[in-house]
Amino acid sequence: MGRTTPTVKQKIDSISNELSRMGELMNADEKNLFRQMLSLGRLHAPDINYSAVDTATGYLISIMFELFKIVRNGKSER
Amino acid sequence: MYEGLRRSVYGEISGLEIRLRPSRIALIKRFLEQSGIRRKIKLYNADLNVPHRYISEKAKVLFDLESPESLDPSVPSVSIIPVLSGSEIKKVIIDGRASRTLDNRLYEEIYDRISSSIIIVYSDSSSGFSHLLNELNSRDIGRINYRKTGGKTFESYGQVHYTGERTSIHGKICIGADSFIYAEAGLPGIMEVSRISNLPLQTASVVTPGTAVSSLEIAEAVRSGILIPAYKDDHESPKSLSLLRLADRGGLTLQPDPGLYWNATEIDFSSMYPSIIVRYNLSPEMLGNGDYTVPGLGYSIKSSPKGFLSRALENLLERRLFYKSIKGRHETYANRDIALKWMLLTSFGYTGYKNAKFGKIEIHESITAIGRWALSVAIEEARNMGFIVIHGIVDSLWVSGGGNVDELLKRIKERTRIDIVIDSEYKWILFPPARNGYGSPGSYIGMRSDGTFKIRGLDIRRKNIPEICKDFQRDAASIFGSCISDAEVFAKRSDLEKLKRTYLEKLNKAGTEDLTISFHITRRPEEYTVNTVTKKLLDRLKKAGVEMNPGENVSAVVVDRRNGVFDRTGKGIDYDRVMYRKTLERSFEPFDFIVKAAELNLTSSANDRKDVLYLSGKHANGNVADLYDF
Repeated sequence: MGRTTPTVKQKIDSISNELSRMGELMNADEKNLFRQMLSLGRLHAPDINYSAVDTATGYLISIMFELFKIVRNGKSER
Repeated sequence: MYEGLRRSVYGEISGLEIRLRPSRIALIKRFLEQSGIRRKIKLYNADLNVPHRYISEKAKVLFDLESPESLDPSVPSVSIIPVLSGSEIKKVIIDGRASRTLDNRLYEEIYDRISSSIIIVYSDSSSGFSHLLNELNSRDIGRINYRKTGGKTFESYGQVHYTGERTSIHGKICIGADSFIYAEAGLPGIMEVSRISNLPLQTASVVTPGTAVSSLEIAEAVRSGILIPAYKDDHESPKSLSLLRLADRGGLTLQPDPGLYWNATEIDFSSMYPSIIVRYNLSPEMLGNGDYTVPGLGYSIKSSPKGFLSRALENLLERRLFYKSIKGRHETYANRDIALKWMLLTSFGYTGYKNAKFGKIEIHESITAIGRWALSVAIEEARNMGFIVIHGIVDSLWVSGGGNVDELLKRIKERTRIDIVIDSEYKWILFPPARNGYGSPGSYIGMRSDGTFKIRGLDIRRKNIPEICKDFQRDAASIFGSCISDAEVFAKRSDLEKLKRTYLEKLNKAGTEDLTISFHITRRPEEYTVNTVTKKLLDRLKKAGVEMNPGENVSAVVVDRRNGVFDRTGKGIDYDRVMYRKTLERSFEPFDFIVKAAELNLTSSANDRKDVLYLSGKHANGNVADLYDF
């Protein structure tokens, strides 16, 4: 008994850790912003799990989707 | 010996039947194994427990009841629980009555009670019960013949457990008070397990619920004349990597947005996975060339005739649903319900166990796939009816907003064919954020409409948290218990601050009972790779000559976390003030969040609340950033 493949959350952690290394050479402001952007990818872990799409793809799509929502809503509307 | 046709779970097979005295079966089995033909033949019914097989073949039932509502037969029993301090017996609790004087009179009473009882419930923690029996036998009272078997560490569902040493008294049924089923469901629970699995009472008290389910399946196979393989020979079918990724998943778990929600309802599928096995006819022999496909996986399943596994579990499921419906009427029904619930819970896991006689991984995968589909159906129906879906975990869904919940349940049941009921109705429910700032699927505190709380995942529910933190959370919860609006919650912030100050002051003069932490040991000291507090405690104990086994718990007050100093004397010498203060402050967090969440509800729209929660930077290790300025 037991799982053969990592869970989506485990995979997302690993992808996020890997990508966060990209921020290491950035300046403090950019690094902070970059981390926040990466964190948006975690918001749709259940959706990625349910759809069974490739986790890395799902993670990036989640970030794009959250950014799309921000762009569409726009700050001024709120 | 003769040739003939017999039935396996997959249909009729021809073979050679050898009839033997039960005592010879193991010999023949060993001979076949050693002769090198083990892989060339399929061996059936060669490793069955003889009494279990006899009871099953003769269709007998242990502790049989006239009707399901009948109570258990009355069996003379006694409970003897020695309480130790270190290795010394301080008192003995006999049927709930404590005796502190360990004199001849007490030993005579123990002897008389054991002699006149059939069931002996005992606790042999730190060998207390066997010390008691040794002492009794050394006095001129009478002799109790007993034997002991060693304890063992085992892992189940990712958790390390330890079963203590067991004592058997000749001619008596001995039940360990720390046995899983007894601790969960008492004697009525063990009797129910015995009744449904055909396992003798003492065995039923010792085995895990998984073994009880396995015995139930074997009993059903024996009764139906189905051969039981001695070796599991039902391997996983080859599958592509993409199918493995698709199929090797558990239940659907959502990620709640942290926040405070009002007028929420929790609905639960009743015994979801066993119901799926029964209603969707999931059994190894039903896989392939079927008349329906498993959603998301495409496995083909035959919906008729009734498969072996669904037949074996049907009675268990119906029985559990019956006792669940009447559990409020008598404690015995409630205990039977708990015991059956545990058996049902493990019945699903057992389908994926590599050595399960009637397990098959594709069936295991199909169960979780149908479970994910069923929860998604529930989510869809809830949204169609205008409910807001707050959270969902495998078989439970939290919804809020106006709507007819009974109608929702009806629609979900119609589509999924699985019973679904209201578990709790909440005046409010709080989903606090995890330490990374995201919603935590397993942590919440809800104030039910009947005035009781349902709490999961907070310190109050954890064993490794000092009592002072749990007391704080109890008191803090009661501050908000009567609130019926965000404004009322927000108005209680000063009461909360006052309570926090009170507890910080209380910490300064806290006693041992407030500060003791129960450490759960998960491995041997040398196996710890990080020098955790638990490892430091184990090292100290080892130096003092105390050996602990993985799965055991050890209680201590932390005196100096860095240098690994602990107090187990109970005298309250000192404690690590920095560590305890931090721990207490962490237990404040969910209640700080309830005020913050109420404030957010009062001041922001739903979208803004999400922005504040997710972009406020806590989880991103940064300051509040404005992602809109681009």
